[in-house]
Amino acid sequence: MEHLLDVQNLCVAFRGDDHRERTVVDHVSFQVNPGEILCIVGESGCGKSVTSLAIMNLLSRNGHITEGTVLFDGQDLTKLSAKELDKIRGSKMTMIFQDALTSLNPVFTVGKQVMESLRIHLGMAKDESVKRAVELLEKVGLPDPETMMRKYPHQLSGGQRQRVMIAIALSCNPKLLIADEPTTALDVTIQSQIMALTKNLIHELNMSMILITHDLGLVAEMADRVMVMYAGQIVETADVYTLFRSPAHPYTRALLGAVPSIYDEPDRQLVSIRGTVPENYEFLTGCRFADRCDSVCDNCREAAAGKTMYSAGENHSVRCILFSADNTRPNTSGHCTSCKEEVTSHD
Amino acid sequence: MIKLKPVNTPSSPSSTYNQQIMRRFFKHKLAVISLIFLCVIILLSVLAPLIAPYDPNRITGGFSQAPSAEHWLGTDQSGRDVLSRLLYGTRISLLVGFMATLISTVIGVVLGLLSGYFGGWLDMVIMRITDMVMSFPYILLVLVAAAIFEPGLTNIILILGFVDWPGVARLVRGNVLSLRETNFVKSAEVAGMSKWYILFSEILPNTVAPILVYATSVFALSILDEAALSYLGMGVTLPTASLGNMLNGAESLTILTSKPWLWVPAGSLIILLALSINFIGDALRDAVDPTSTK
Repeated sequence: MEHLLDVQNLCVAFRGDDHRERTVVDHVSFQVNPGEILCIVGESGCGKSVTSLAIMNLLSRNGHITEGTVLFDGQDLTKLSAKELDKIRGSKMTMIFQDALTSLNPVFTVGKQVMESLRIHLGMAKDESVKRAVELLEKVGLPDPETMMRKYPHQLSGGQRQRVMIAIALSCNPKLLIADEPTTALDVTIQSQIMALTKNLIHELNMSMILITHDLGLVAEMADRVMVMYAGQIVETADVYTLFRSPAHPYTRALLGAVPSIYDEPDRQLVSIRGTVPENYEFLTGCRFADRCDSVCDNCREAAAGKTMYSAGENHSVRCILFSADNTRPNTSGHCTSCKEEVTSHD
Repeated sequence: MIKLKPVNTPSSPSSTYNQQIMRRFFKHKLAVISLIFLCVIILLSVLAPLIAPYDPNRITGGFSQAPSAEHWLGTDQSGRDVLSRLLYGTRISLLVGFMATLISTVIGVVLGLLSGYFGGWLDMVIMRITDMVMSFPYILLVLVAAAIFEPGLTNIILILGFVDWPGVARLVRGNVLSLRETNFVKSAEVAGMSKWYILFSEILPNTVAPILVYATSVFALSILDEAALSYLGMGVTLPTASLGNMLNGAESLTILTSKPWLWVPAGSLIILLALSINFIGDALRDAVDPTSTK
């Protein structure tokens, strides 16, 4: 099948005050198929948002793509001029941001902002765009869309504003929607409403979506496929059932262990992952998760570790030497058989 | 810094942002009085040809006559009607103030927008030029410029306009720097709007309020500067009347002490104009301040 978005070996570096380049997204490759919802999960600072910003070419001044290609609909987005990019952004691919409260321009009415994109990309006349804007607002479940058109953003609640943002994002029937933690600023009931709405619309309009989140509940609900990122790398990709049923990478397992469940024993201790995401990870040798991993062994710190993705099943790959073909130690417990050494518990 | 983001404002669902601004503005009694005063003065000066009793440049009476029935405010040293000259002079002063403010605001806004949005070397160059203009002693710069170019109405407008812009440029740049990082600007980029469209149609409207407030103070300052320059003979040249050159006569002590009708009307009008414009500016500042809960 032809991929809608094909990211190959994407590297993004930022230049700090000391003019040194720091790679924060390191050879990330993934594909999004038409109609698919891909979730990217990971801790803060793992490069999830930077990856999505790089795809949209929205990196701030000191960041840039150092390597790799982003093929969208057959076009390499990294090689397009600003003008060509403006034609694609908004009409074929679009993005909604974390903080819906500030995503709308405070000095314009909702109607004007919904119509703006219609007029620019579809060249609609005024009365036609008014009609379409009202339809869009109705579609995202806003009550009394005609009145809504004349309101200013500060007169709307957070959920209503995010609905307006979705209406704007969908206005030109894009093929890909990137949502960067779209519901973090909203409370849980509104969050589930918004996500249900998004999912319906995605299926209805046959769009693809990249959802960036650290809410695993949301992932389970929304995703077709999941990509786990850690320290600028993809550490595991799998379809959503596989990932939740048999997580392979110790990091994924730890993330899932950190989520409380309603079926938990009352006295179950939630897992916490030791330490924090390392900085300056281009200087780390071996697996980047080694310092925080419960299954760590000497081999993990060798240069070859963490370089390749191994298969852990059909359409399931993982960046962990436990899954390499010559690994002999069991890949679920904390004992290493290859270096004959029992891993001591850290707590 | 004044931001336009309306938060914490008690708003009924039907009141638009503009209505809120109006409501807060009209709470300032002094500003409302100033606004009415300014409107009356503008009306009088615009209608000067219709209501002025005499031609402002014609000799119609004796020299330096005290106020009388024919000449309500007396005549000046050359025998011209003071009231007529005052009406025409206000016209010139307001024109200079308005045009100079317009020119400096346009220059400042454009430079500030460019420098704040595009950053990099462009920002460097524009900001260094701004610093340079700002570091000159203001009145000296204006005087030297007035001496180099011949004094006259057009030149004084241009000089004041080209000297007053750095403040606006800095203000706008600062605002753009913070607006540039907001989500709605990013959203606009994502929606595929061009940089120029974003700069002028998304960012600029968000800085209009602080620009407006700042412009009022530039307006008042320009009127004062024109008065100062004309008083020194470097501004609007005689026989054209302006509020500043009408004060020329006050240079002599006898006029200052015994013939107040020659300088009191023009002098007090300058003060009142500057005051009322500043009051309006203050009220505007409060009205557009989102954190104000008055």
